[in-house]
Amino acid sequence: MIRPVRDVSLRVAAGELVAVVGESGSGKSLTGLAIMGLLPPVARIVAGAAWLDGEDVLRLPEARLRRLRGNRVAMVFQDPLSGLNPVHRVGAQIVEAIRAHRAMPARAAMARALALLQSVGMPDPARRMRAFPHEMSGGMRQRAMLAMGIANDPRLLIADEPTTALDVTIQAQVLDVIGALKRERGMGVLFVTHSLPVVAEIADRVAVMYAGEIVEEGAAAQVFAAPLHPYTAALLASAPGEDGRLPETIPGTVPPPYALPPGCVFAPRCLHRRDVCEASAPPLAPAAPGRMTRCIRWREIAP
Amino acid sequence: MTAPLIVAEGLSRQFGGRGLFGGSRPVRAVNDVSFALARGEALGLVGESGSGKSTIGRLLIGLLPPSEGRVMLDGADLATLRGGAARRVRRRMQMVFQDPASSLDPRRRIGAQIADGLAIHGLVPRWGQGARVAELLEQVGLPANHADRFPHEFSGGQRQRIGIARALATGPDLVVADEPVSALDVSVQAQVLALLADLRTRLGLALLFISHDLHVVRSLCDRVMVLYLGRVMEEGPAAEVLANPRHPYTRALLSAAPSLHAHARRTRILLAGEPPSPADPPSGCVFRTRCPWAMDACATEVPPLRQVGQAHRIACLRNDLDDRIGPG
Repeated sequence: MIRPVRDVSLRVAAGELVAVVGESGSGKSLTGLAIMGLLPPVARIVAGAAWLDGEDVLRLPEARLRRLRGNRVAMVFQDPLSGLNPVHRVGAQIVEAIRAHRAMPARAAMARALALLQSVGMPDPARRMRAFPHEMSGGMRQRAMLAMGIANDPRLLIADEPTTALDVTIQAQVLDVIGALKRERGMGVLFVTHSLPVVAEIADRVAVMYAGEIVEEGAAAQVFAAPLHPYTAALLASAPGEDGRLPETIPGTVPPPYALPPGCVFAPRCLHRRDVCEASAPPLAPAAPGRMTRCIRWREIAP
Repeated sequence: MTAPLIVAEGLSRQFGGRGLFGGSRPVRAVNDVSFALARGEALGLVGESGSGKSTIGRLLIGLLPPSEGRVMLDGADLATLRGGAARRVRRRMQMVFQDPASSLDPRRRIGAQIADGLAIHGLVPRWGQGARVAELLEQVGLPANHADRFPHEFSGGQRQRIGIARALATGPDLVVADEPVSALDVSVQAQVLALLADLRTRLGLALLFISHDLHVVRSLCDRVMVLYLGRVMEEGPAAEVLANPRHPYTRALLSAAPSLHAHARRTRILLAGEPPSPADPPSGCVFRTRCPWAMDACATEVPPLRQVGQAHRIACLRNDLDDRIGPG
């Protein structure tokens, strides 16, 4: 048995955007899927709970979960085509999402769908109601997905790399829409991404994941200004800078989940490694107020 | 100044137009693009989907013939070369693709794939190929004894190194790299960028680097060209264009790019709408439908590239923007 995600605790308040950032294989997407009860059959939750308004969604029977998904919790994915049915008009799909969870006359649901498309900034929404997904650009499809996701005013929106496939000017538009939804509807957002600049742009808090664990957590502005874990610092230094310097590299590669190092999972690549780091697995511990780090040497190496 | 290695003159490329039922409209993917590249120089092509940047890369190394214009390597027009001369030219120009997983054959050992170019061009006798492959692998930072492994035994970053080794096999003067780091994680991206920068200086390679990320381009390239719907919007020294963008599209592109220093940002220009379809581009300036500063003349006149600084040119009719919105 491998454990691709271990001991991840996240807390999203209403109206708060928490970003989970990490590279491929860090476990960030699995974390999002687990909360939705959408793990693939081979994956199993061995420990932990996910509380939504005081209810443990991981222990709910499938029938109850179905009532929850798309209602109080919704999810949007990187590829909007995976969430849209290619043979139905977009308007009809949003109407279906609404009426799956509440009794509403068709006409009223249509009006609501149109209002939703408007609120996500869909150009010419009345016409797009009748459009099929293939008639839309990537940015419009992602807006349609968002409109469907927020159709029932979810308390929590889980967004897995929702802007990664979009061009940068369209990405900026979609990020603005997500920010507005959060502010205006008081929606909590769990935003999964690999992009540090996107996190800096929109997140209130950030959890940095590496090899299946959260290695650092805190207010996004503070984490970026003064990271308390060497992986966060290395990741920040490896992003292409705006000053034209060549980004710094992190030596080595991410360990696969079947060959995790004993002790700190980042130790083999860490410039600040000491013997003590490899002796035992460090816990995620409080550092400064509102800040957590898994590095036992954070005091000595802090910038 | 020494003679440029490769010159692209008035390149245009059109796709389709005939269609099965004669009705489809031609798509002009690249429209009147010119540039020159000296030995050892790196030029970055930046643009969003549909800007024509990948098509330009293919036109440059002759994977696609241009509809208009020409490409000259050391003064010889690629379109006029035949037989041995054409083969010798192809040896000097190689390509690195975005997705190394799909550009490598999953069922052949990587050493054999790297050696393909050596065999096709008869560069190294069979008995010497193993040694040359080992040398190439070491050049891209992979252990020489990995030559008999298969592509699936490598990570994404390592596969991109194999793609680069394969491109270097024929000893090219020019490498066209089409989004070579876009599919990679940021820490791996940094490794591959460092490798490309190192190879460029060590081997004196000319590099056409295609990317949607202006910051990545700046870290690697001397000059940059910003494209929109197949046309050049702005070109100039990379540092200058990023620090002091003059074209409204470049300004918008830079301000839309998410930034680690989001809080320190100057006012953000949020472009409305989506890029128009290349099959039905706007009249006049192709950017005018999304440009916050478009005026009537923009709809009728195609703006020519004009000088705004040392080797810095933009295609914009408005020359009052610097006064109105400040430089960059």
